[in-house]
Amino acid sequence: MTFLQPFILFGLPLVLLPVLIHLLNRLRHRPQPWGAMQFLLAASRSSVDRARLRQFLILLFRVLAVLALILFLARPVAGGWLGWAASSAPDVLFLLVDRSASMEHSSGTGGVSRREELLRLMAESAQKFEETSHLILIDSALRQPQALLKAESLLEHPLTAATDAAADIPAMLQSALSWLLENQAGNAEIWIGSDLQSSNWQAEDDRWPSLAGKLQALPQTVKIRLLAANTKSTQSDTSISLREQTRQIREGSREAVFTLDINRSAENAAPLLVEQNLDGVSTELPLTTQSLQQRWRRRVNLPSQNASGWGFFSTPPDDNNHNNTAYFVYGQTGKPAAAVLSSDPIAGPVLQIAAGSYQTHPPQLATLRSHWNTAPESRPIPTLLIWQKQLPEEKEANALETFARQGGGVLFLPPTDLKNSLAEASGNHFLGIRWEAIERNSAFASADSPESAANNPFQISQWDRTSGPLADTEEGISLPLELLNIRQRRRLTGLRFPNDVDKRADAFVFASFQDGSPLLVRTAVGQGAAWFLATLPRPDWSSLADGNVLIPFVQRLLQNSALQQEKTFSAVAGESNPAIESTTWNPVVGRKNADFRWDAGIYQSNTSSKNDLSGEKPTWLAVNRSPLEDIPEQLALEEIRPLFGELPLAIHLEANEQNTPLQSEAWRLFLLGMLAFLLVEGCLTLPSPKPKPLATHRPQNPMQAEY
Amino acid sequence: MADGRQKSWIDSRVLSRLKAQPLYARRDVEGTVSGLHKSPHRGSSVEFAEYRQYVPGDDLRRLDWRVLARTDRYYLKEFEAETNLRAYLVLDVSGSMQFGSADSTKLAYAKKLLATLAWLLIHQGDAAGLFAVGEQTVLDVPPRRNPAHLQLILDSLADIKTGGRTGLADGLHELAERVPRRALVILFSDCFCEAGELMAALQHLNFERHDVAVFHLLDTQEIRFHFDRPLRFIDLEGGPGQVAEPSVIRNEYLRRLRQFMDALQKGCREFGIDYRRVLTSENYETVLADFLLERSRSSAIR
Repeated sequence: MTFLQPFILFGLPLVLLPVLIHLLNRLRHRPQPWGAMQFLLAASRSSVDRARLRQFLILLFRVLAVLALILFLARPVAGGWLGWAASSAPDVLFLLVDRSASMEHSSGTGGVSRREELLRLMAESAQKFEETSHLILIDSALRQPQALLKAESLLEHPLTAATDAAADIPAMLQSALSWLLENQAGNAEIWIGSDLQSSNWQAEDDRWPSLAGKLQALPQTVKIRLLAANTKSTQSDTSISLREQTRQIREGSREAVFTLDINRSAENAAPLLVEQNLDGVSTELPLTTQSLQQRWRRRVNLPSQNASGWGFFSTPPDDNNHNNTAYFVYGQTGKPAAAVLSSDPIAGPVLQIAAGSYQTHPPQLATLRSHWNTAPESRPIPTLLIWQKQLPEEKEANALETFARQGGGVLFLPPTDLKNSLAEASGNHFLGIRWEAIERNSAFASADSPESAANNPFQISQWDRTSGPLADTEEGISLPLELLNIRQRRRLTGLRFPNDVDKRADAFVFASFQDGSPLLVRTAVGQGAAWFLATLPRPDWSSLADGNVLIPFVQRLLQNSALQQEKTFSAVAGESNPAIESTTWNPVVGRKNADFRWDAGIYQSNTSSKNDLSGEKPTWLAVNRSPLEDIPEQLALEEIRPLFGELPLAIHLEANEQNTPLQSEAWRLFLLGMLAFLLVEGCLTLPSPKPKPLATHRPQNPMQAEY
Repeated sequence: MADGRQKSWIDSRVLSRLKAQPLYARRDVEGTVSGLHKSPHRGSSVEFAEYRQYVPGDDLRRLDWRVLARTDRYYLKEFEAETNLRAYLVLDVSGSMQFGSADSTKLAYAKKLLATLAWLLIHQGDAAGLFAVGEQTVLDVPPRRNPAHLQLILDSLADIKTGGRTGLADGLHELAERVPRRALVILFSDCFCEAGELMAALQHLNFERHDVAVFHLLDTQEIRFHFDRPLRFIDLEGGPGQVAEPSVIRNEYLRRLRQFMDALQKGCREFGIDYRRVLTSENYETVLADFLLERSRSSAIR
């Protein structure tokens, strides 16, 4: 049992007050001279035992009454039957249910998920408030307050079912606050059922202090009760998520390359059987791995160029079945189209020529935000953007990143503008990658002759001949990169490689100079990629303008970027996506009655898209769970308390509460106890019934009237 | 000072109303002179008793000449003797008699009764004496019938010292032994002593053929025991005190008191003792009037 006003417990010595008063009263007895002592002494002797017992009981009940009063004032909070019996009903009871994917981990008892266990506890505890309080459900996916008539309906309510979306606890609290402000309700209690996942609670978020302040400033009392499902499951768990999906044409066949992240909760030597399903055809792939985290690249042959379809990768059922599947869709690829944004009068036209007939008029950056699917047919969005100037500023960078994430390709070339200082040039960056200062080739500085190239540090020494834009042709002819003369270049800084912890931008070097510095780097961004070429097709920079390397390179990039521009829809569960929300989607793969807004799965549109070229093929949507749900970190209890500021907060651990309802204030019980003790004490102190008065001897005398 | 106190004990208006009713003895008493009360001996009053045959030595003047003339036999005509009364007024002066919840104590009340009765007795020609009993006998004024003796009794009442334990039973035994002839013994006491001992003493007086009357004086508070808070009871007779919760012991106290009074009353009835329970809140004139009237009735019946 805990107390909301524990300092009142310092008054506990006051329970001795009745005893003290009794003793003082004994000292203060009024003297009474008395004649009939023989009867008084005899009566005292015979009544003393009974009187002592009665006196003791009276004192005991007085002490208990004071004790109950002090405990009542200290506002005890108790669990179990005590708390159930004693708590007072709030006017409004908010039930904030975290139904994110991580809540589907088993709670450790009987295979029930954390969400189900918390719902059961909440329903049991809220049941007694049905008659007296308004029950308001706020779920983590919809975050719209819903009135409940019966607490039991929590268990079957469609808005308490499992989802694959991440929960936003501050937003849920904000929703409760708005409801309170709009409805001017009385005292409120907010019950939060959550697994304390850090990514859901966002403890660092700026909203917390303002939320706590606003809730506290409300005229009505608001109490927070947190039911935390913090038990660690003993079962092993494997999660699989789709990190990257690219398309390529290899040996004439169309391929999709999937990069999957597989995380396991415990090391297991047994091979993991991953089910690959493509358009309903299932294949089991044994994956032997002992590490907890693994990145797995999988190539899948796709049927035909214009076909669209769906598929998924899934791991066997385990502790949490909501993180076992990664869904994908594929579709018709886009048409190659390039746009050159160059500030250089020499390199710009060369690049435009290299981009060939695909070149279109320079696009406005704002239009890059639009998805390829929704752009008008008459004015296609470029699939490749060649950026030869200073790296983009913040807004432009965001637009470019969005463009790349949706499958677009961006080729960055170093700016030539020497007027710009190094500091200014290095101020801009894209995904943390910056251009260094221009380096000149020392081999060309002394003598302008190709013979001295033997010790040329800018010589292209190695490049990827098997894949990528510099690969050998199908006939086995390699691009003449070793013949390139590079006179000037810019190094790149801020590159992160796959071994690094930061997963934001992985860089892959396709070609590098003799001194190890990269010539061509690719960084994956969503479905697309950003390419960085360290030199320029200018005579004073390199011999790239000759075209025998540049043209195949740019053309291949263009083809590849067009491949990535698939006519598909994908979304993250729980995240708002205006591009798909106007359409009706029916679940094809996944849970029955799944909702594309927060349930992972494959969905099919009823109506064909306006931009659907064939007008007949179905449109697919792949919804995957929020990547936030794969971050297992949980908040510690001591991190929770500061979030709510001065608000009364009671935390209940699900592990302790599995068989008992939530704790609640127990003051009512103590108040009733105090009254009962006082009543008994009053009965004990009641005077005994009056005995018959003693008669005096008065003879009836008819002559008495004479006197 | 003594005069002032005497005045408070004797109220002339009360006396004037009470003196119309003489105080009769309920038994034969042996007096020294002729009086209102029956004597165990034959005498010369107007009350005819019996005829008796003449025996030599009898006074010839008492021969019934009419019987002699008619029957020629010698008979004497005998009459009841009527004598005066000797009354011993016994006053309990133990400490408990000083208790009084109203403005008057039991002792003061007893003195009123005693003084009034002494006045009535002396004024009807009887002898009255005072016998005060505390822990021991503290005062013994023998009965006299001259009016000056009344003053002595009143003075003695005024100067009497009170306090100490009750030696009532011993005092009554002493009185029974000391009084040679049948007399009237009137006891004024709260009787707070061992009931058995007191009854034995009263029986002793009865055995000596004294006419015994008991005024059992009680205070209202003593028979009601109404106190609302714990008290430290101080024994007026000097015994150990007692802290008690009246509400706790009240029932038991009253039960024991009732038991005591019932035993006393029953014992008195058995021995023909005139027992009357008197509350000090009652009007003493009424009490005395009842007493006198009842005595005159029982005297007439006899």
